[in-house]
Amino acid sequence: MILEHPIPPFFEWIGRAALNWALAVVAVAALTTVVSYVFLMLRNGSKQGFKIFRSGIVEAFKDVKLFSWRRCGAMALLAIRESIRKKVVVICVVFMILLMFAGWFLDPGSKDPARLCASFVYQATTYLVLLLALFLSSLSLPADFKTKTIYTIVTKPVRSSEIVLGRILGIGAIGTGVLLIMAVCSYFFVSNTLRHTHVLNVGEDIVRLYEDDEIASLPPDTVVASGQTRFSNGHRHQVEEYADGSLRVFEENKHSHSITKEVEDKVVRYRIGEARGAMQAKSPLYGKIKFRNADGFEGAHGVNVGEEWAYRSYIAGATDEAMIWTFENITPEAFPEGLPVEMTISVFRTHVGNIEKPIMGALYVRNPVTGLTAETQTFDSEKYTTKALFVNRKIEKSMVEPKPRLIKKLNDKESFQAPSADLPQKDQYDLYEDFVVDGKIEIWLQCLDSQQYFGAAGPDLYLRAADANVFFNFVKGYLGVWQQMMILIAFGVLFSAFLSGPVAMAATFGMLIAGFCKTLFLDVAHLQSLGGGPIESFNRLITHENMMVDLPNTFQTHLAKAFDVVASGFLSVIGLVVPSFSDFNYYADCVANGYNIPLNSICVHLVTTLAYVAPLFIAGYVILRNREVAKQ
Amino acid sequence: MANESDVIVETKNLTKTYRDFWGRQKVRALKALDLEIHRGEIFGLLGPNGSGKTTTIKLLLGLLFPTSGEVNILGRPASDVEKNEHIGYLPEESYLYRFLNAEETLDFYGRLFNIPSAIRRQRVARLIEMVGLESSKKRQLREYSKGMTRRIGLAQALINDPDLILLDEPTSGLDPIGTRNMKDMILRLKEQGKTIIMSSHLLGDVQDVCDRVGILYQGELKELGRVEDLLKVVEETEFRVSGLSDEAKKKIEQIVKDDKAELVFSGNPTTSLEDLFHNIISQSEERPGFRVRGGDVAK
Ligand SMILES: Nc1ncnc2c1ncn2[C@@H]1O[C@H](COP(=O)(O)OP(=O)(O)OP(=O)(O)O)[C@@H](O)[C@H]1O
Ligand SMILES: [Mg+2]
Repeated sequence: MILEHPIPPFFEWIGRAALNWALAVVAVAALTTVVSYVFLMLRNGSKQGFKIFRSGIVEAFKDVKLFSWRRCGAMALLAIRESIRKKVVVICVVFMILLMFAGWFLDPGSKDPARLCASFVYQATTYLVLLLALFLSSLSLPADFKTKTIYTIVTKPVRSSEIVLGRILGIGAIGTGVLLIMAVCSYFFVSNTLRHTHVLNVGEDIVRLYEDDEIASLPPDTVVASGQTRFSNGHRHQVEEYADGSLRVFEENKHSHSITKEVEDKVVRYRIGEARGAMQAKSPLYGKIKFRNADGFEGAHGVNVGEEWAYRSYIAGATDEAMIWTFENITPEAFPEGLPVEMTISVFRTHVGNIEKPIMGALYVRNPVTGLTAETQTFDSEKYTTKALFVNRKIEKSMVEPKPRLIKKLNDKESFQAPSADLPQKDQYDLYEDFVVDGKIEIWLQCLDSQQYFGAAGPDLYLRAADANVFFNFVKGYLGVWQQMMILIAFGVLFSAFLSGPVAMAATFGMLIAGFCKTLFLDVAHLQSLGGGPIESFNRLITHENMMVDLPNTFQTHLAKAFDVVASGFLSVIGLVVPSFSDFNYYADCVANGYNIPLNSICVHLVTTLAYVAPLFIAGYVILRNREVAKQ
Repeated sequence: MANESDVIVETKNLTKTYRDFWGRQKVRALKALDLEIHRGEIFGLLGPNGSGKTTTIKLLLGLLFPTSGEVNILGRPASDVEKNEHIGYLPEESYLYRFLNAEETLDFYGRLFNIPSAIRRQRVARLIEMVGLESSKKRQLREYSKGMTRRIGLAQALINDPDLILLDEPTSGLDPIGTRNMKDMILRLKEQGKTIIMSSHLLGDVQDVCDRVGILYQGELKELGRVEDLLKVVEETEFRVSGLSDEAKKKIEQIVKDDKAELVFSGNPTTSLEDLFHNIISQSEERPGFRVRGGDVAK
């Protein structure tokens, strides 16, 4: 899975993020205070104005001090009742019908059906739930104003903060409930779509190559039966039986099957079980990557092979260049048997050679302090296929004697810690005793074929810890939708605190769209998009002018550009507060690609969500507090 | 006489000018109102449509911000939320959540006050009984008739056992029985020591229950005083006598003539239409059947 903006570790991130956030919030609060003070002075004169200002501040403190969860809860309950009585359930039903129909259009025979299904259900739920949140949040308060029920509310001892927060929480609760139902339904839909078995009939589909009595004398890995299953969900699997009695169903479309063999009165029958591994929740443990050049110097980047996108860095084959991952928190509890390594290495060929022939690579673990290096495992690499290797806990050979071609310069370079000569020679090494220091270990990767390159970015190689529960991971994936929903609700309630229903809805919808294409939005705001700013683009649109052509040097053009500068400033400010909704696709991507959603990113995103909801709530409260309820 | 501490609501120079979106002046709905309302009295705001009664009540509650002037209500400014702990408000029309039923409505509003849940439940039941909605307490308010909504609106205003009750046209939309009940209720509330401010354009309503009235006209307070004083027509005298002989009547007419006065009215006093309606209903509850004045018609 490729992450353009990797999610930083929570504790490294939180300090700086919190500081930036606090600064922004304080700045906005201070600005608001100053502006309202000046406004009051101008409108009411200095004496009266100051009195109003002071009482406003005092009231604000009282609102904080006397905030009551009981009243807030009552308001939330009201919002929930309102949503239910106004038939929110309809949305759920629509969704379920959609799922039923979608089953006909989704192609279960696709190369990656799990991803297809998961992407579909996440998208469908995202749109439906956000739509629901949009309606509920932006129409609820305006309805109170329109029907004037707000009169009977604000003449009770309810504080505006309780009204606003009650709305956010109540609608949030409804959304959460709907989302949970959808999550569980979707899970069963997806697992149902992926569920299938295959028929494998002896004689027709699979052929036994040896007689039973011959098999005992064969080497254990000889193929004794081989064939292909019948088609199901648009694919079939290669199946082999070996002399030692083991059976293998080859992977197809990212999954495989269990297989059992039954012998009854000398009649052999194979039974293929349910699809296995179609949905996964891999828990990768990522390390920090660095690149070592041929001279033994280490840096954050390797060779650039001229790809436009500098996400991956490369190392040259048959040199001493290496990619080094340093892993932390490696414990025998987490990896009792050894280290399961999974990697997706990119290959860059400077000469095609034999395109069929894969490029060879070498991988070994190394003690980050002593430099003790384990025996090399070689592998062949094809572009963008995930390779799995296993580093055993018991290691037979080590390379205290550095192998010339791989680490021949170990002793020459100061920047490189050489394995000291007084390391004990052992017959067998233990991963944790001899290679892991304070939970840290290095994994080195080299390319063995000359004039070929290996490329990788940090997340391309990871240790695969115990898998997480697929169902819970699937449901966790909905956290992304949930967070988007909460932010949207907060925006909706904020806008509805001072706008009429349809306008509030339009504003909230605008936020949503801007959030979905935040990058484009910022480009437009900063006048960097093709075809100029909003007005200029519009001008091009109505004059059918090409985006690349410079507009004629007329007054009209200048006017459009001048407007664009103003619009740009305005949009930039909005851009600062627009949440990047597409960031939350991360969750669905994780699930679709079969990864467990790490706690770290959940924490980061939850705090981000809160960082949006809290100030929006406060803004909504301040606005409602100062709104003349019975006006109009 | 009332002393300072008895003043429960006070307005000083209270003025409200409605402005449109551009800040242009539209209507001067209330002009420099000075008012003092005392603990335990029933105060009536009287005036024709559009005279500023509702505006005054909204200003007292903080629903509107005054253009100038001040409000002091229960010793606090109108913008103070805490004053609402002791206030009940029945709006002009009952603005309630139509998707709730009567019980849920009262329960919801009750939760906004610091009332223990046991007491809240008791009070909800008692108020529903009081306003006579027991049989339809499980129906959503969207199904309610205007009068029924009015009743639940009143119950809602009393959920916190308020000290000060503001009723904006409490009798509008009620049938004569309902009107009568409402007036009785207002008098009962006064007996319990509550202060009531009510607005109406019906003289009768105010006359029956109010201790003092203020008469608004085009946003200005025209009259203020005790009802009896305001309604007393000093030049006229009314006698109500029963069992007077024709002879005695003639004598009285003679006395009037001797006094150079003019007989304005003489005849049988009537009860009000309201009383009549009330009597019919209450009697028909005792003896069901169609009844015509002057004798029963057999069923
Ligand atoms: N929101 C508003 N915007 C503009 N003008 C208003 C608004 N509300 C009331 N007014 C005006 O203010 C004046 C007083 O209105 P108010 O509602 O206080 O009268 P009222 O005495 O309660 O009348 P009614 O007996 O009909 O209820 C009227 O002229 C009315 O048109
Ligand atoms: Mg009115």
